[in-house]
Amino acid sequence: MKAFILNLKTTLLPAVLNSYSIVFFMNNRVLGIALLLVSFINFYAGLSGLLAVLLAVLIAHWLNFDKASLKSGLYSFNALITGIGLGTFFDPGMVFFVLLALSSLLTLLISIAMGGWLGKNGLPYLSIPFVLSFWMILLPSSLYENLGLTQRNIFWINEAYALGGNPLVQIFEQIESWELQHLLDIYLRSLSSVIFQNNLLVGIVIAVALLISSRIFFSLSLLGFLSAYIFAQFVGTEAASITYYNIGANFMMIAIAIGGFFVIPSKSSYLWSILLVPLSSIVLVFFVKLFAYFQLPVFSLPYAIVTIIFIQFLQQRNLNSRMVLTPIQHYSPEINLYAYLNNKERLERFLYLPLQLPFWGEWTLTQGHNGAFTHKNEWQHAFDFMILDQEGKSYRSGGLTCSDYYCYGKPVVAAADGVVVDLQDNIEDNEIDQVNTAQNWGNSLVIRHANGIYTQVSHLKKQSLKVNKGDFVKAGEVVGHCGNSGRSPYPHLHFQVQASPYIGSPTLDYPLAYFLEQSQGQSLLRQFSKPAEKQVLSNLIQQPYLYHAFNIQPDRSLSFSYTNKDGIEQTESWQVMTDAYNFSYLYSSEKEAYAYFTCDNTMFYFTTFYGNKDSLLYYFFLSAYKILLSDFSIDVQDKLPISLLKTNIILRSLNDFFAPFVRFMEVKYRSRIQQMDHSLNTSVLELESEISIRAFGKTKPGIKSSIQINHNRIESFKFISDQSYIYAKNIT
Amino acid sequence: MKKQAYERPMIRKMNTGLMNKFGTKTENEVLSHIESVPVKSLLREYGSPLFVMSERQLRRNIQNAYRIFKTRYPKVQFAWSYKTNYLNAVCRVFHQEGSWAEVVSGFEYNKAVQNGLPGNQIIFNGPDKSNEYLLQAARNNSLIHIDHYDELYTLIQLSEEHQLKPRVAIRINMDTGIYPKWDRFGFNFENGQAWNAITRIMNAKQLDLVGLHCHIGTFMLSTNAYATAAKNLCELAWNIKERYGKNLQYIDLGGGFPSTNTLKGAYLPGTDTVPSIDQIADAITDVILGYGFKQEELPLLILESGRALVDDAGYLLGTVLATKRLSDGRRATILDFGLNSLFTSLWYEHKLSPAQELGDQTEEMTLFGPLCMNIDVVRESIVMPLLKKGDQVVVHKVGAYNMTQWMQFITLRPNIVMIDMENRPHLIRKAETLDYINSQELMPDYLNQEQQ
Repeated sequence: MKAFILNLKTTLLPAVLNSYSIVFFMNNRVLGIALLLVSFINFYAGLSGLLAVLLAVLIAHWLNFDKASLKSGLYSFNALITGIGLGTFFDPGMVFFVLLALSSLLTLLISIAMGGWLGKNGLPYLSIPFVLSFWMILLPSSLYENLGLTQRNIFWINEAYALGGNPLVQIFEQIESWELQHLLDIYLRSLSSVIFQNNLLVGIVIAVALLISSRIFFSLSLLGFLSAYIFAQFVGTEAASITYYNIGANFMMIAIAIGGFFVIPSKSSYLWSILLVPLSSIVLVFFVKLFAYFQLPVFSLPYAIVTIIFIQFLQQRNLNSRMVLTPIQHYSPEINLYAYLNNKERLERFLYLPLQLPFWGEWTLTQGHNGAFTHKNEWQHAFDFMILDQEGKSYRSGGLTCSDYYCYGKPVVAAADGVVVDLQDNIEDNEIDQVNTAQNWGNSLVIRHANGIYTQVSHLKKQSLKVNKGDFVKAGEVVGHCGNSGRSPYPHLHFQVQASPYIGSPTLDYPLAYFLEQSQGQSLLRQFSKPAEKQVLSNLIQQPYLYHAFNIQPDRSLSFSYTNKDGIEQTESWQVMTDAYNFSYLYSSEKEAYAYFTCDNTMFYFTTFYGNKDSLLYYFFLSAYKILLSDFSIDVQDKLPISLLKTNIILRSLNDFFAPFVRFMEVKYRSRIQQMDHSLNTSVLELESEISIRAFGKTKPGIKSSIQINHNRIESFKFISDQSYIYAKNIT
Repeated sequence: MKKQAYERPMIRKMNTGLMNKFGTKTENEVLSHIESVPVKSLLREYGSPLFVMSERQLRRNIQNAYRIFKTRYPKVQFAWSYKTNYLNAVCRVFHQEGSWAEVVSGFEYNKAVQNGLPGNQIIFNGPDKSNEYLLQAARNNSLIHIDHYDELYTLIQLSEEHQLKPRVAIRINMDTGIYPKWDRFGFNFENGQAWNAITRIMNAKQLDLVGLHCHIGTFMLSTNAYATAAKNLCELAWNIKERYGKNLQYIDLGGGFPSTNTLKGAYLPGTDTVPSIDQIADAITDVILGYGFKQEELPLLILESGRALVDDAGYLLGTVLATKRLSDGRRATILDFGLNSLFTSLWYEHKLSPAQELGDQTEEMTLFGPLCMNIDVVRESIVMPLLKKGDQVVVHKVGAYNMTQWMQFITLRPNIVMIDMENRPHLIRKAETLDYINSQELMPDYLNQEQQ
């Protein structure tokens, strides 16, 4: 029983509410409740919708379908529309309810089957299951003698009277009598027609709920509506097939789907959503004419088909810098947008194997990608490094012999762990200004780091290689020494990433993971980027005491005790979990909060957070958003998605409206080592981080926090903002 | 036409030795500017004699040293040897360039602290550490390099009394094949004393052994000695790892890197004979990298180089007081600085340059200082142009030890200026005055009364 109640709370209730809100592509409680309530204005329609959803949810739950999809309402929203549709057009009775149950089941079957077929290609099924199952009920319905078509939706005032007596009817009449602007009137009625109604009050409630739950979808619904209206003015209402239902369920829906749901909201997605409305109007008229032969209404079929085709169309591109398909669906365009903008920069690292610079100390990039001398065509993505002194010279004394050059004979190290697959070690070093074009790569070494990722170092010193073919080398291990062999007029180190295991293979355009760049006496931390020519570069050195503190291993748990806002001593424990995709996260079962993190050898960072923002985990997430695991005293900077922060609601809503085009708000994160008890084997260390919000040109330092490390372990952390002061101590 | 400079007459002994195709001309190029600042104006403004430090050269030296080591070894740390030159301005330049401090007395320790260096970046060396300073260093988390058993026992006792766990290293002395053997500092490697001390520390709960230190000598002319020292320290570190499972954090090879000054008695000039820091770095890093430590267990390499980083950044400017002829006919030139300011003239054949154009003729001469002491000789024998009273000279490479070992003897110590990166001179130590010297003196009452 207890389990059932828990299930009800954590899965079934959200599943039902989300089935409503996902009609507008969202998982949002406010919108869900609003739609649920207004659906009951046509009482039987609302009831049959709810019943159909409940049935679909229970069956899917009982058959153990994917919990996350169930929770988000994906399986059951078609049953909801079918239920509301049936309730709207048929008279209630025994036969009706049996038919309702069957159609709900049928919709579920079609939904899940179509999900299987289309899902493989990354395509949604949208409301096609509803259309199909409704057709399948509609055609045979005339044969069911005890099933009567209803006219309640025409005489809806009677319904309202039955539901709420005179006062309700008066409210309705009051609202209906408003002399609304013509356009607004159509807009609101179109919104209400999504749940098969034609009612200003319903339209107003949906519009407000939509505005509260998503500014982007609200503006897109207006855009879809206006585009349809203007097109109708252009070709004539008849030709554009303008009805409230078509505006609401086809034109607005396609604007929302393409403008902000399947595609990350942007200027171009807004433009496409305007364009696709007239296009689907043509498709719509085509289907209306076609299906008229079968006496079938087309409902939202045109929008579904155009959307699916358009998504498939977008998927065929190789490069998607414009019209980016939503990579991770958060069921909120705002979160999708903010997360995308944030992750575009932050999560690039997941795409790349971390490579370091193949040397020790500071070297200068003398020829970069597509360089002036030899980095051309197939070999354009290569790097040449040399050591330069303060005067920018690469040699001392005359520079007439190899050994005059600072880089000559210096250790060359492996860029990442790997296996030596090809090498050449017996080519003479050239005299200065001579080149050996016959053996142009000179003494070289190729290391396999992963299938398809090889690095090559070239022009090494004769017989300086420290490794043999088949040897395993670790990142940073010395493999040879810089020389002057091959096509090299003076000593330098050539480094390239390639896709095949041979010396001289074509190069790959591949970034380096972390490195320092000297710029006007300042060290800048560069991440997953390609160094530019003339930059002075060096590797970061990992510090074990920070690495051990933040390299949080799966299947452990962390417990913290802290005093909450009301001054009550509390503890919160986080389990360290790993999901099916091998992503690690901290999970607070007490507060239902998740914080995904990742830790490579150089950086610890949280990738995302969801769940309860009153949890201690949320504060830890903000404090340790990104930590450099090196004791180099440098600011680590990053940006947080606005959606993850508690910010002023008015400012934030305003920002949401314009976010697809310009962002007025930005959340910046900064962390650095504040103090450590020693530069060698540090045991006590304090990190400091700060989150500041820049809104409309003004920067406000918001949150300060500090993390204390003691003997390779996170000992405590402090979190100070306007609203809260939290001191949490590790009691694991 | 430029007016010909006056050249005083001279008598030169005819020398019918072997013909010399180079003639009598010597390398006496004029040094009229230091870092673009005229010597003449420096002397006019700050008086003669005058020490001049070049900030540009200081930074260049430490940056070169870091480059040389860091491109050969992943973890390198320099610690500025305070005794070599502890002018605060000089120390701060080194600290800005990422050097820690290496100090050998409580006085130097607190100088480093006052230069803003955190305690954990100070290495406390030397045989003389009082209880008071040991405690201060332990509380500040500094690295204490233990020199002898008495110090070891004192430190254990102090740590117990005050509930401290200082980070320590021991200084090791060894035979690296050079003479003299510096076996008066630290614990001996060959006779097992070093291992004995290590065992004692490892068994003392109060001490945290984090590194090993050696300093095999000064002005080392052999790179092999460094290789031997590095090998021996690696061997000890390896044994500690094997025996106690503890990875030492660092190996400190001390300093002793030579500058390019010419030692007395050397046949060839220092610039030709002295090993470069590159060669020393090769010797050291080859040994450590080849010893077999795992990549992530490689110890930090600490270097306490002093002389090689500061010597050629210092100049001494002075003026000729008089010239005379000695009884044996040698020419003698008396300068306004001598052994009192230029202490290193005891060790080096310092190179001198005239600061103004003089004629082509040269003359062998002895350079004397201003003191009325027979030992006050700057150069026994040097071939210089015909100097006369009032001419200005520049001594090269005087940055190391002179500004710490100089004497306030007979005369007062002169001004020191530093020329910054924009070639602007700054006074960094004022010349001493009579009041300054007197200010430390106290007069017993009865002597005072007598005066009245």
